[in-house]
Amino acid sequence: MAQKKYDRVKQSLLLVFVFASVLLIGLIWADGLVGDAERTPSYYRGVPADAESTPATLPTVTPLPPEAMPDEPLILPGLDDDGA
Amino acid sequence: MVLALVVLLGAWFYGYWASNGSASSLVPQVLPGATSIEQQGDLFIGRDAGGKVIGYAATGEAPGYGGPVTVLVGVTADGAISGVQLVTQRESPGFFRLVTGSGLFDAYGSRNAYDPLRLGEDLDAVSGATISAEGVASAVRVALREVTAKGLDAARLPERKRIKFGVPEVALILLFAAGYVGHRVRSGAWKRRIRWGTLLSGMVVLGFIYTAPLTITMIISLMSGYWPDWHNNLYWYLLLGGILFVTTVDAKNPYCYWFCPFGAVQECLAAVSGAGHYRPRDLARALQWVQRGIAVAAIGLGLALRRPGSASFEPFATLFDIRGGTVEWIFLALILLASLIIYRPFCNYLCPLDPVVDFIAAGRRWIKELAIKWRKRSTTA
Repeated sequence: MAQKKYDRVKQSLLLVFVFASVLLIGLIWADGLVGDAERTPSYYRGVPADAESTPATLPTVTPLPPEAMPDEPLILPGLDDDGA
Repeated sequence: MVLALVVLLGAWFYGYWASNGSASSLVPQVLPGATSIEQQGDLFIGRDAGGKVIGYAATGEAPGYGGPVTVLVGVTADGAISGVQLVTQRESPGFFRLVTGSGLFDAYGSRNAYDPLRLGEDLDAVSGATISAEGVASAVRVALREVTAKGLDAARLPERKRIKFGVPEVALILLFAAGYVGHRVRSGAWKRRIRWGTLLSGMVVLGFIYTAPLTITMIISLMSGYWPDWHNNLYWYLLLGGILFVTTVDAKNPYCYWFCPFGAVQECLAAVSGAGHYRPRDLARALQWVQRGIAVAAIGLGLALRRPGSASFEPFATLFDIRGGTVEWIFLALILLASLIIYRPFCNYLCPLDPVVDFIAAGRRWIKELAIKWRKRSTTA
């Protein structure tokens, strides 16, 4: 009888554990999905004082003229990615 | 199994279809003072009211922990970095908050397009979110290479890739080897000793020192096609490749039982309190479906949003890095408390990796049965 009661308590505790965990997992997911705005960090240098106050228009796409760009980018001698 | 496949395939295709974003609307922000912006190929050119070029911008992409990190970088005509804007990231929110709060983005303020811009050199490393921060820094360097090559007079040279092979990789190989030997040892006493040895080593090295356990983020990244650069992430390939290979070929799970760091912590608590296995017969099936449901929901969510990090809920970082929000701490406390009463409660009832391994094993059985049927048919024909 006592064993049966003990098993019932243990079973209830297990169900409470699983239910509470599922709830907490839901909260963790919700936290990960909302508040994207605060997680899109950026650095901006600020508008130069002599710049026009008109905001920039969105990009206009211009087909790239083949002669406008060199085939190989120029590389300054002695300058590598480590800045050495 | 079929329903899970349908849900996951649906999530995969939805994620593929919905994940294409554009950075062009953000360009005016990284080129302050520009009154018009023109796009030539991948390069954005900002001009002032008089038509004079005042700067260039380009996007750069590099692998993070959960998937690629994309940034937009603006550079003035004389080579100063004028703006860095995050476009997309797929990291675990907790990890990325560390990057956001570290001041990494602000550190680009006084920098030039030709500076090294490497973490641990001229940029401060971000403790606890190394891979995510490295993803941001690498993406910025990729964007700068584009800008310097096509906009400015001289290009940054391509990066030299160094293969990262250190203590975690060596420890992982040794743990796989010890697990392989342990599986085959006949003596029960020696098997127990080897197992405790691998469990404790895994807990200390892969848990507390390097915080590199297997997570659902890794599985979702694998399924999303966000495979990180192997030079820097050999550990990722060894861990996932090793588990998938052994599970598929040998039908054995080489990780959970042998060296999962979080499993080891729960097992230590069970050893102290004397907690035993508990799986009530009348509830076992229902609880198994709850665990499978959690796994399918986590993977489906990660695939549909193409943000593997957002689906992660395992309390590994909370315990091993001592980092997390209130909910994560409550969750960890609940699991540790339950570990004193029930043997490995997280592994047995909540961990999404167990159903993944079961799924692979079921697939393996199905293929084997098909092969046997096919063989029988071909011999009778």
